[in-house]
Amino acid sequence: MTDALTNLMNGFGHALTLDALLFCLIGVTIGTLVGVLPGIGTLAAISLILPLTYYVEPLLALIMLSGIFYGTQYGGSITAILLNLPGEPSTAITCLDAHPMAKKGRAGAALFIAAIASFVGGSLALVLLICFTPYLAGLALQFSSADYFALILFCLIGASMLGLGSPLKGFCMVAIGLLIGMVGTDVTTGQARFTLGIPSLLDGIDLTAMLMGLFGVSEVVSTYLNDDDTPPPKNVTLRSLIPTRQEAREAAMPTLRGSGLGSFIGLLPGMGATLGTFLAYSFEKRISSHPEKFGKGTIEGIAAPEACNNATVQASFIPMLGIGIPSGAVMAVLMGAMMVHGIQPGPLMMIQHPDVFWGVVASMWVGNVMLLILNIPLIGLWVRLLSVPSSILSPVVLLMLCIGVYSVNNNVFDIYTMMIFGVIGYICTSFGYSSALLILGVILSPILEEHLRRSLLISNGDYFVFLQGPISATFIVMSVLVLALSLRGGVSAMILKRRNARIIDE
Amino acid sequence: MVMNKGIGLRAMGRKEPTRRSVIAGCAAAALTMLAPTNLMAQEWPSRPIELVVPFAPGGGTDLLARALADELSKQFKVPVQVVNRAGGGGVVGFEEIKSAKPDGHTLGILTAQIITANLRGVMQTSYKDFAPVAMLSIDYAGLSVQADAKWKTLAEFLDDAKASPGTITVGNGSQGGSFHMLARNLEEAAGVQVKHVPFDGGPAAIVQLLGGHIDSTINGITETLPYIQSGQLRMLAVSGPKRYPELPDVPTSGELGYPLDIATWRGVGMPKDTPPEIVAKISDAVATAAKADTFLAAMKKIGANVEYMNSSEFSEYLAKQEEIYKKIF
Repeated sequence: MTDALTNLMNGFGHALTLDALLFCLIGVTIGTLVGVLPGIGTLAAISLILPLTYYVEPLLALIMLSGIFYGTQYGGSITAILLNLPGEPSTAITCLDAHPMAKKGRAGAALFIAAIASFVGGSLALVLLICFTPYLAGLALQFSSADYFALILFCLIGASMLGLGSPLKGFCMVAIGLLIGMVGTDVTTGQARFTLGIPSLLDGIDLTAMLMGLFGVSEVVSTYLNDDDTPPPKNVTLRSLIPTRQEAREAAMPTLRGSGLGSFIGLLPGMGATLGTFLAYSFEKRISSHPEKFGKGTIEGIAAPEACNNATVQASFIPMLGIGIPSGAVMAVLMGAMMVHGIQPGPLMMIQHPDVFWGVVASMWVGNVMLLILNIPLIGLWVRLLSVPSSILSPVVLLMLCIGVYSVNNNVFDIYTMMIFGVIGYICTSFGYSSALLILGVILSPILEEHLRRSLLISNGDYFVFLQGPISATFIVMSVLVLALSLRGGVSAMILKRRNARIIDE
Repeated sequence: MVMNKGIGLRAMGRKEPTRRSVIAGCAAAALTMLAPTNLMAQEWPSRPIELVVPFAPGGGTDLLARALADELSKQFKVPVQVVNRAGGGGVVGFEEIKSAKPDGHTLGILTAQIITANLRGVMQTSYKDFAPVAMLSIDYAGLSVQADAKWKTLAEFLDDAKASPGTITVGNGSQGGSFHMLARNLEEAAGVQVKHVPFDGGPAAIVQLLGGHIDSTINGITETLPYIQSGQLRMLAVSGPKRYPELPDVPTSGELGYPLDIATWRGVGMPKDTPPEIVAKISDAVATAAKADTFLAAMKKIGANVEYMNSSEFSEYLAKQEEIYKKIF
């Protein structure tokens, strides 16, 4: 522990030099911008900037690149709140409550809560990163494929049953998402599935394009069709920007719970921030005393996923730095960046390059503070964006979406994908089906299938493998419980309905 | 950085157009359509060259391409721009290289996927649809087990595999990828049967081996090295013609009687109808690049093993590789 403190002090020594501060500021600023600009994802941004860092000192390069990474998570929530346009998949769930809140004229408060929750989530996960990296990194090793499968199954059932609107509709969307996620190359056999002979589909349907379609394009379509040019709040007073005392109190516990959950999810490679945000949201709704308010602009529905989101991002550095395992595509690129500089992330990194390790960790906290300072004063400015009439804003957003989606892979096919999912998203939202759950299904489908098939391969097709390990058994039992609980709720509601009907009949 | 080297382009000097030159130009253009090769070769390179990387930025192939692009633009005095066309495990990029205009201004990085994707049937294009320019790097792999595993040598490992066929799990980076193919190659050579467990990338297989969820993995040596050095894993053998410098005690599979010739390689290719003179010029330039200190330093950092082959050697290598793959597919 004292070791960690001395090292951390050294780290701050590196992170607070003028150069490091500058690169950190550049990183988080780019990150915020990328997050705000719809369509340009974190991965694309880091990939584009990566070559520029080949000529910079490794520590500075890493400080900047990781700054972009967590910076986008802050920025992504801004458009999610204001325009119902998640900059990243992980902010999709934030839209559910933040956008209604913005429509009620509380955009400022929503932004404020999101920024604070993000900061708390990021900071708490950092504490974890500082104190426990050597110990926690090993946790990921304990998870076998069977355990991952059980965990993902639990998340899917939890999110579809507890979360958003009708459980049956939720279940439908997750199932369709899982099916859409099967498009592409089969990991286990390497065969192409449902690709219609289109090479662009070999890697599956592009997630960014799909996200931008389901949320961005469908929002543009619905603004156009509904023509609800609700007059935006004219005077943005400072008072309307700051959350009320009650809102702040309501946000406190969800923020902490979201941070905890996010830190745990971040430790597991391949899980990604999106999954945690859905769990955090459904959990808050489940334990809330007023679950009916969720989806209509409640503060807990913003605080929990936002805190979770940032905690996941920070915590996902633990497996990468501690055992050299990238937890996702962005982490893989960051790892590539380290290797260019001759630093091999992994068990030896803390011994061979302690200055880089602790420098980056310390800079992350500095970066989080910078983001907070950067974001709070800008809230007033962002809110004014809402006063742009939609006849101007919508075409601009649509154009930005096209450019953004195209720039990721330089592939026109992605623009078509986005447009198609724009229509699908509009239809789904109109009939009360959640696009967010569709995205969750698509994201988790490949990993769910991969882990299922791999564990069955190793167990020679024996399904009991999922009940043998303590971790997987726990998650399976929890899944069954959640399923039973919501079924009971559904059945008793049905019985009640029948009884009422009978009473009326008689 | 590559962008800044565009000055050379303008310095190449363009003549003022006269009527005669315009007519000549039109005639030349007409001729060009009939016989594209000769005229273009003379003026090459007349504009920036694109180097297509069929994989995402930041990976080993991308880093190699960028280092190469720097060297080539120094030699040709025109910018050489790296263009990433990721998708379909390389297929999208390969198709783009194949169908580019064969005027010598589009190069691309080729990898083992041009053979495997074709054999798997996900890509119609085969290695024969490219003009092979040069081989740049060949990386070999190693078979690793947990440090406390009962197998101390490859022989013990193979004995067990022979005694109980299809039970020992061997993790690989992807189905049909080079690590999987290498495991198949070992099966063929030793007459044993193992259980192949595909993962989403080599590192994921290493984690599951560290956690004891699989028995072994065939994986990149650079990726496995830190865990060998930290004492968590043991490498039983490496593929390739010679021992890995940083693991002098690990024998090659060839020494143990199983010469395996499957590796992760990266070469340079062009559209098939590119004029042979241009291919030769680039092949020479790549040879010079492969000896440049800056390039070698960049390759050392990413742990790539530089091995140059000229156009005809590369072509032979490709044919031989396809033979091997066909046998074990």
